[in-house]
Amino acid sequence: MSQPLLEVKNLVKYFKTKSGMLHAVDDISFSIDEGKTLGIVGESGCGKSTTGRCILRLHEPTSGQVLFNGQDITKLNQNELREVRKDMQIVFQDPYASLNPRKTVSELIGEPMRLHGMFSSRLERDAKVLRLMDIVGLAPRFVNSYPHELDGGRRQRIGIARALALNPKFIVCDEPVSALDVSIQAQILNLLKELQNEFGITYIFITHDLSVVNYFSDDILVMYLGKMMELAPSETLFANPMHPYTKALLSAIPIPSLHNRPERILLRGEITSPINPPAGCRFAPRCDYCKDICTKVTPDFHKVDTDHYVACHLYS
Amino acid sequence: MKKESKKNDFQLSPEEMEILKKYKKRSFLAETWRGLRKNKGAVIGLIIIALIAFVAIFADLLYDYEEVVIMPDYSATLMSPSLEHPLGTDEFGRDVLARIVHGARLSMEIALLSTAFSLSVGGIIGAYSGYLGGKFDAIVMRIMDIFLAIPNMLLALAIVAALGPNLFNLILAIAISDVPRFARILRSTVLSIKDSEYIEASKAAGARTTTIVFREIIPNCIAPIIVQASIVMAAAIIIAASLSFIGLGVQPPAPEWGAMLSSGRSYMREYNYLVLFPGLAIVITVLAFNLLGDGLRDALDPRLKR
Amino acid sequence: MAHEIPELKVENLVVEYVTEDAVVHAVNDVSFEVPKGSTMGLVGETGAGKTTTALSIMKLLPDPPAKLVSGKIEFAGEDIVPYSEKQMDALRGSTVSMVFQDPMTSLNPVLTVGDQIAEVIRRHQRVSKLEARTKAKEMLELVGISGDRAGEYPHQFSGGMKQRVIIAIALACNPKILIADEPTTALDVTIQAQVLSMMRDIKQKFDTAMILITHDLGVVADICDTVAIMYAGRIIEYGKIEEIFDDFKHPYTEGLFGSLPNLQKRHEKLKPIKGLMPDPSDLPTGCYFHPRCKYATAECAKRQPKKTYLSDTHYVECLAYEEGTGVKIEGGDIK
Repeated sequence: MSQPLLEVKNLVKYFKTKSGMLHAVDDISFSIDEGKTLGIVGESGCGKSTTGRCILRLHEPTSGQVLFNGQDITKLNQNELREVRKDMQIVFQDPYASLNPRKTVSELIGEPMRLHGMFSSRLERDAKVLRLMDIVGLAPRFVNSYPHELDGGRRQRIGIARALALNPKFIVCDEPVSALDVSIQAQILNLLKELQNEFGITYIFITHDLSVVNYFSDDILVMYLGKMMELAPSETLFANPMHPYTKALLSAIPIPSLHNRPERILLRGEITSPINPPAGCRFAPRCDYCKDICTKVTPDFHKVDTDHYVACHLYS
Repeated sequence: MKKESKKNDFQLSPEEMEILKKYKKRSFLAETWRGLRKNKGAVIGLIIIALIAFVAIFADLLYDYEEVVIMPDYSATLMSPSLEHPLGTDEFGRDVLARIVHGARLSMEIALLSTAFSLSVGGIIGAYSGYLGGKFDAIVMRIMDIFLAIPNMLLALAIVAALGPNLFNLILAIAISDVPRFARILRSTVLSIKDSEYIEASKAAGARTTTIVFREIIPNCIAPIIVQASIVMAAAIIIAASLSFIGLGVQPPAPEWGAMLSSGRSYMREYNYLVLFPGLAIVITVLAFNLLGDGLRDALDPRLKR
Repeated sequence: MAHEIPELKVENLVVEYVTEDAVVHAVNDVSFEVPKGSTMGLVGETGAGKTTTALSIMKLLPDPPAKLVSGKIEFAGEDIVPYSEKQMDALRGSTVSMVFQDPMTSLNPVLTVGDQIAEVIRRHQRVSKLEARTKAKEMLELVGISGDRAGEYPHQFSGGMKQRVIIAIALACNPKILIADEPTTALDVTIQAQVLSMMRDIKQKFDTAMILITHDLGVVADICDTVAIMYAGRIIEYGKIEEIFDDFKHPYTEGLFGSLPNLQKRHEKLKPIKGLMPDPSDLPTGCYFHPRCKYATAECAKRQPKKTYLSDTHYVECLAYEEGTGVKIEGGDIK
């Protein structure tokens, strides 16, 4: 088998807080092949966004490796990192916060090209900006509008055009549609899919919305409080979820149909604190199948079937 | 999606040239003016300030400083407003209007210079504090807090008292007392910008630290700075006038508004115009700056536009 | 539909926001009724006028700029539009209550949650402080929080718990009408499932007439009896939940469903609605939806569609269902 485009090995990110170490990302490993999409799902505070930012080194990982095309990103110096970032981009969740309010659309989209000196003249860059706007479906008349003059969907298109500007191989999509209305959401999801088909881009798709991730991803990684719970191809995960958390999460999806409604599994309580978490399975306090061992020993993330991995004592 | 977009040469087609020309970027000034225009108070403030600035710049052409403003004319003391002296004359027979006009020059000078000084010093301190954070931030900001705990007026008074009363020391005193204000504003602005997603976006696009500071952070600090500056200028005029009033600022016979108030005080009962007009000059100027500052705050916030 | 008087009836409601530059037509002729014990889902996207409708019912519209131009709002047959602020104060919290979207900002941070519930009770009922406290504890138990936590402050609760507290406050005086404005949007899915199941239980217990405002059709399927689909300030389709989910007729409703990824058919491409919501200060002529409608004809730009009843309970505002307009719907998901 050929080398995966991105390989994350034992990624750890702790944040120091007043009350102790916040275990945002705790020992995450996965790999993605070129042209594929990995969905990372989980609820707020599960570390999915931090994982995405660590991969791009927008956060410095506490430990672990991020291999992009076989090159360990965590070891690069600033200049080497700049080069690699041409190939790795990010689309942010909030199209309001991620665009500098003092820049026009053409400055925003043109910025990555300017920074990397892609074009010698301003006119060439403008031409490319217009091409990009066309690709993401932004009318050319917005070329010198400011982001605050546009609605959320158009702003998100700016974010995507900007990420595409350097012809990246890989894009982290951090909840790119959760701030948008459903009809606009679908427009953006379709756009991202078309771009993948046309340019062969590899995605990490971070979201809390399981129906979106199912539509979008080849593989899905379920995270809970910084830990990997389950990793499997989308179809397998939805057909045969193994981890009790995945099961509860899947059953909680509000389904817009009156038929085929699954039995709800209501979880007890709420997410516990990620600061200095105790040993054992992070999900144990809310788990209906919790055994003695679950509160004492952290379960291994192990293979249970082809391409299907789970971290749960029920399966060891 | 149109497939013609797949051309690889990056030459602008004539239609695209047309689009770029038609939807040109609006400049910062034009944008600000567009926002400001809606606010009547701000426009009035701006007009008044423009007038005062105009008068201040051309004061020498209007009235000769030595002959009219300084030199006593004992044949014309304490004359009520008339055609010849629209605002009357003072106890030395000098034309009050001429003195107010030249006083405007002094006030503007003090306001501009002191604000420029406090802005640059306070701005740099605040920006570094916000950007570096940690111990530097903690220490510097505690020092600023100590300064802020002393009323502006009192601090300026102490500095002038220590250095001696003259124009330069007055400007310096006002400037120093305003430094912490700018430091605070800049620090909080930088802090809020530093962690914003568009900075991360810029980093992800490959921006270096200097690029981030000059292209992302500074342009977003300009708005709060301008707003603060206009308010600080108003305050500077008041402090200058107050210090001159108690004799610690600009010294007579220089026509500072506060000093004029002070010397007119003794004749207040019979010749009230001697305090009325300089007083009005102060009030109107300060009000104009404050009106403009308020308007700018709204006009410069891109999120409030539409 | 001649039957008993509904708990809440809204008739031909028109609300505008008048600003210096423009008149924003937020709610344009909205009518519906919610009988006792029934839940109506009010569905639409940002700017459809859902929250404005809710605030009009509470008479909490900021006036100016908002203006209730015309229409009736009846609580058990009594029109409250002419009511004074004082009369409304007596109704709010006791007859009609509202739950807002953001649990983080809806609670007073300096009062304990028990006190906040007790305060509402004492405002509307002549009870002693002690009685009110006991009742407050009962309310907390009802929404699934231990009564012992009544003495804690909002910041000691998580988001989901805060939303429960807010619901407890809203229900403290057994209101006849409850309006919930996106009550679970800010919550995680598993917490959302908890809160929804709790709301379902409560609804059965108290027989409250409820309006659930949401953009999430999944939530609607979970809890509502009737559904009103709102677009640009109008209800463009209304019906029982089965009628809307299994037999929708309006192209916009079709678009809403088509925009949602289907868990069963994951490779099916999404069919979003093209374009954007119209600017409510500059609405299109004719049918408000026609610029985005894939079936639109020239006729659609000329005339606003009237309500066409497809059954006693199901109506749609679309020219395709009116006689002799020549507008046809073909080739979509509409049966």
